[in-house]
Amino acid sequence: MSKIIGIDLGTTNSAVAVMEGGIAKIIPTAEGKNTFPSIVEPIKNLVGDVAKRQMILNAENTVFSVKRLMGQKFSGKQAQKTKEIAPYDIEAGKDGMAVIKLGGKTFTPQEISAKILQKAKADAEAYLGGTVTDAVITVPAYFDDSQRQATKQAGEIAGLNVQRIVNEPTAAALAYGLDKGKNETIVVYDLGGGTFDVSVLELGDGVFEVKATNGDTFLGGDDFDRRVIEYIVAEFKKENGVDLGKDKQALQRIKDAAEKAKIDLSNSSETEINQPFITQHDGQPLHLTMKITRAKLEELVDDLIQKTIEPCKKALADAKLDKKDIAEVILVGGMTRMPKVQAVVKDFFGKEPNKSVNPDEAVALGAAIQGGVISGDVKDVLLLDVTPLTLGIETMGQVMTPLIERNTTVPSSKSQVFSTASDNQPQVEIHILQGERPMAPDNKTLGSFILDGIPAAPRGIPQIEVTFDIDANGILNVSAKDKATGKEQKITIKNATNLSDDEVERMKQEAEKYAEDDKKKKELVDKKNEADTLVIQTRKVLKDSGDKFDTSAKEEIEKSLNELEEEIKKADTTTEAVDTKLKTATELVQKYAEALYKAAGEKDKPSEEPKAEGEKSEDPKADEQKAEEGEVVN
Amino acid sequence: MVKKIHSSKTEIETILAKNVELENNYKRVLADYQNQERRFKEVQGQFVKYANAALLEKILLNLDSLEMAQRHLHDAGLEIVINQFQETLRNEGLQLIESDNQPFDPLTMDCIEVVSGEKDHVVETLAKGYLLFDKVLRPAKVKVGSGSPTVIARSEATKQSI
Repeated sequence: MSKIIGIDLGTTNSAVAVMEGGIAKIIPTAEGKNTFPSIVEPIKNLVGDVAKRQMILNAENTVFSVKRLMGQKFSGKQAQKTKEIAPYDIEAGKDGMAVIKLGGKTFTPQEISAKILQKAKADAEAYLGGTVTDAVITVPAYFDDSQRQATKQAGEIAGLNVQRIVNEPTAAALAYGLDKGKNETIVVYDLGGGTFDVSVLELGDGVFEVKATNGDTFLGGDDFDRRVIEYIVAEFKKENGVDLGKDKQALQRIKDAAEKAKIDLSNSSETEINQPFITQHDGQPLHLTMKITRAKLEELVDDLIQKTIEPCKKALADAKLDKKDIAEVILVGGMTRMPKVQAVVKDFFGKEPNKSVNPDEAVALGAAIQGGVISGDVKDVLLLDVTPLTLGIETMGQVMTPLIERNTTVPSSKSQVFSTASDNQPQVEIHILQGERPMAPDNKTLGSFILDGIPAAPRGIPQIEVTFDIDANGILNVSAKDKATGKEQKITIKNATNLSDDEVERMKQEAEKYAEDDKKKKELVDKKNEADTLVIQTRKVLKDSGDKFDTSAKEEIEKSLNELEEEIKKADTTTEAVDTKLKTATELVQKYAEALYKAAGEKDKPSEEPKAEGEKSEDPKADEQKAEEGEVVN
Repeated sequence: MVKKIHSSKTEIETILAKNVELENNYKRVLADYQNQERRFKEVQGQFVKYANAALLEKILLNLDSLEMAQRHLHDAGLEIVINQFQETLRNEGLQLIESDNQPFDPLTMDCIEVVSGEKDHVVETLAKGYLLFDKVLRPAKVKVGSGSPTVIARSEATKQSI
């Protein structure tokens, strides 16, 4: 079965979502937005933003809010009310159901809705890269059988197998993951662009039951915008004596500005409206510049927000419940982003509303989740854990080398090859650490073990593969394997991901606090390691090819190496100090090495023999490279 | 004796069924992952091209204001500045949508008002529209002719706010 998409078929806007990797996500439209207007021009076959753009020009043929006609009888109140305001003809069709007549043709509301669903289907197919044949479509909780049937038919006309019709508040609750919780009663407060709906749902054994619904079908964000527009026009008239309400062009700009201001004020306490050259008066251009505070906005729309309380009271009464019986309130619809709306809801219900899901997307996401459950995608929503803190081992110089970074989704497995720190090292200790700081002692020890039986070899030659494996339950298995002998040791650590949030926060903050210091410490250790490597390598060269150097050269080199060693051993040494001595020693060695090669090169000219010598002196260099490859394990 | 075999048979059946379920789940997750990879690559390619879209949209508002100012000020210096500005935007892939006197096209234009004028033709452009490479960044806001001397009253009757 292909993916089952979830469609929020709204009055003003529609959205479509799908489950992927256990998570529901909104499918962007072909235009790149997350929702599209529920507007259709069936003659020219335009749907969405495109249809909206020619709506004024082609009003008689452009259908909006077709949802209000779905499953409605022509003689019914809804159809009659819509007929009054619609620029297209609404008549009685088969069985007295309301139908739309335009362009000389007749369309059932299902056929119009089908066009919206077809767009949703096409956008989903483009996104998923395959055909989509099944969908879950949402409807208001108060939709009767006739309305639900009409919605299902619309789906079928659009070429979709409607797996289920889901109630919008239920879908929202699914998006909030409330079906995973205990049996409880919740309220869904849905304040969208054009309508307000409040529903009381009872959750029992994973199934939602609608106990009561109420609302106001003509109250929404658009009304809020209108208040702001009116205010701006009034203020401008006061200041400039010009009524912008009569200027369609100006009104359009004010409308955009008002909507933007409304949104801005959800995040700031004040916003500016700047529309230069908004109009002309007595041949002079006039500019609209004003500030609106959040307090002023709240004042302008207060009565609108208060209008939502009465339906809430009625819904509770119908459900025969009291405010205190409500376990949770969830918010749906763009308008619920307004702080004042959230405050009023909190005030009335006596608890902080849950706004953790994007209110414009909740219904579509919930429909997708339902689709996922039906297709068997999601039996028990598999929420994967992440490792809260970095995991790694201790390496030379008391440094922590990470193997699994924090916030990696588990299960996960990472391997790295390490080597020995000294010649003929017979064993390595794997000291497992957890934390964010670069120095080992500053992190938490989870465990340690030893892998022995490493055959005698120069430092840096053995290859020890260390693997960190965390399973879905947070159990960490660490193994160390000697690639040469195949010998392996391992250890199991439980609860590697089990840390309280406080602990994780604390460790993160500590890491930040000491970040500068830790960085310096690590730099010093790295420099010391670098110096150490040079000392050992150079001593090796002197030992192997000492006869190539003259005595004074050897003495000089040995002296600088000793000084370098002294510096490293000093407790209070700094990165710069070590670096200075390191540079001196390096330059010295290079100088003599150069001389060596020069001499070898001159010898080279007449015969082949010296080449062997040339090769020999290359060995130290090759050694040097190899040693620097792997991190060194103590 | 018979009972025991029976129960171990169902045990095996259960295990086999679970195995099939796990395999299916695994395949699904793998498929989802591969889809994500594919989409990621697509988005990455798109990203470079269209990353500026949001920023450019905001900057266009400022260009609008400058052009509005120029319509009133008729300043030679400002004209040069505006031309420079437009040139810069063109170099970023922005292309003006020709709307004046063109037949109305909802793909690239947004009809704000219907006025008297040539039917279905743009009478006036209120705000210029732009393409970013081949996509419509912002449709032109236009006034369209009704073909008749009076405006269609019905469109105003719809209380539907747009």
